[in-house]
Amino acid sequence: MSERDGALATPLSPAFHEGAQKLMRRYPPGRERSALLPMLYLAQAEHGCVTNDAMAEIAGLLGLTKAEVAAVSTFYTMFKRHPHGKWLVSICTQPSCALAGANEIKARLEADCGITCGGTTDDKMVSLEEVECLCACDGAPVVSVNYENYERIDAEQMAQIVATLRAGGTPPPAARGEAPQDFAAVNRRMSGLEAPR
Amino acid sequence: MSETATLQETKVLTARYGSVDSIDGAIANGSYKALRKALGMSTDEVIETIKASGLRGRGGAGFPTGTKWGFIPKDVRPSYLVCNADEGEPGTFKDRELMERDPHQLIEGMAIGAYAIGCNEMYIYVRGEFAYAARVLERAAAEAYEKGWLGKDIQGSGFDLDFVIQRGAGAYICGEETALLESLEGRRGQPRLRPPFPATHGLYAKPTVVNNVETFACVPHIINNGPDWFRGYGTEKSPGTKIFCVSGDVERPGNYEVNFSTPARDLIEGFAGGVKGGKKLKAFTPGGASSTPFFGPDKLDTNMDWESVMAAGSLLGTGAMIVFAEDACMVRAALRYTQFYAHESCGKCTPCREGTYWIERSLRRFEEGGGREEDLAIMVDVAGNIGGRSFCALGDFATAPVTSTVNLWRDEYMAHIKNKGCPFGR
Repeated sequence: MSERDGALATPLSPAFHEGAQKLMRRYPPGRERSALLPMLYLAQAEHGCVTNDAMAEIAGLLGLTKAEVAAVSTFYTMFKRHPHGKWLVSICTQPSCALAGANEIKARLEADCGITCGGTTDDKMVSLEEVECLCACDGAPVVSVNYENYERIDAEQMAQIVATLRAGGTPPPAARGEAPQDFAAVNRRMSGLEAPR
Repeated sequence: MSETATLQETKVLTARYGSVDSIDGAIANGSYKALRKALGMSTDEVIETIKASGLRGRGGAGFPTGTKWGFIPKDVRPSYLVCNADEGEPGTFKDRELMERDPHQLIEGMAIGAYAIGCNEMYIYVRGEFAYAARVLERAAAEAYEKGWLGKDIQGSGFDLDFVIQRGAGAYICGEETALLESLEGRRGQPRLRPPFPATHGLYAKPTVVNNVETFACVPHIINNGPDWFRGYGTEKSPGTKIFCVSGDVERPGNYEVNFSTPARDLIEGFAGGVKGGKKLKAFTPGGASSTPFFGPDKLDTNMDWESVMAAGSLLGTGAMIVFAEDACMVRAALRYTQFYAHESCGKCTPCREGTYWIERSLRRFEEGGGREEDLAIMVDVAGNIGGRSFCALGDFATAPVTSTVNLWRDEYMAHIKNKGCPFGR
């Protein structure tokens, strides 16, 4: 950290550091850098995105420069640079989904939320994004909420789910039978902290 | 299609779907029998068995799996085994289902491979968006540790094996094996220069085998039933069964496991029930967005195996068959696929990074009404300056949607010019 950066605005929590140490021990000695992506998920769970401060802290833990961490973090679509809503709604518009009505779903959700894909509602409840193939094309059109898929769904059904989320409700079970967790919880899970090893 | 009613899937990899909710259910249905058998064989015997089966990698390239395992030097340790579960090819959804519905089949296949190459630490790199599949794998791995099929001294054999589940974070290029290894090491997912190949310098610069999910899923069945049994399916050069993913404008989209070399017609008109709403077929991809050129109806009798699809002028890829009905716009399809490559280009090579950007802009102009005839030649020229001039195959594949559609459906581009926009609407 240089003088100019000053104090960290929102330091990562003790729980983060405990998790980060566990993640670093998962890999062979000297290969702790493999924990970088999992640690970025864990940081994102705390801040709703990967902040500059979080990158600096992670760089310190791994003996990397901030630039090295930023280079990695910004490469991957699932690490967000700006705070996201509680529910990230991802609409696949690749041909298999587009042929099944994905663009109508996208237009409807954008109109209902008053934002375009890439944006977050003012109440910070919902973020919309247009994504590449989610590889569940037998269920086209596919829309995921925090990475749980809703499949063979139409614009009206999806609009109702999003309306429920914006009103503070809980999402219904998704195509695999489990309901999405909120953005913080799903990012914590993505870090792999709950894996047997 | 006269025999539609008699078509049957050949279920090997998908046979246990629905009956393996726990490791007890999986074991009752035959899981880990092959691993026990393999642990009683020499490592060379295991590799020779896989070689004799003729198993070829299901990730798209079709490289012989036993040969790949045989490349691992015996005197350099540690060695690593990595499962590529970064399924991202548009139209592909077989690996996700294999992980979600029979995770122990995959863990067992990987464990056999690890034993064969003398590896005590295996990894799976699961696409980040596959949240549910990764949770299923975590649960299955915990069960396998608890029952002694992973961890120290597996079933008293003296063989130790650890299993690390790593999630990706949204980058299609990490399905390229060296980009995957970079990502697994905590770096940007950009492909490495080869040679050296992963077989000698892979994960952490150690000897490494990387195989696709479907490839590992075949392994327990080959060990259990022998190479001749495996060769009883498919053709001499493409033995075994293959899961084809059929989606788009069909009545019954889904994964269908069939004899390798089943005709495309059987998959599209038979298993998938034909084009939706009784419409006519305009086009299909034999192997996802990266398989080109697209096929028209004249290719419906192509046998779906590596050699036959290549002889017909395209690539088998992952076996992702995306079907377009007569009223689908091929310019719009080309645009959406090109957007995909523009987004997923890792940015390392200028031709791929900039070329996909410019082709996308040109295609968008056709859709929005500003297309000009001379743009067709410009796009093909730009494509020609991407293909063969980039570091990895993504650049080559990125040119396919535009060159293929300009070649086969030039009339549709002309209709866009005349109509000052898309005349199709879907």
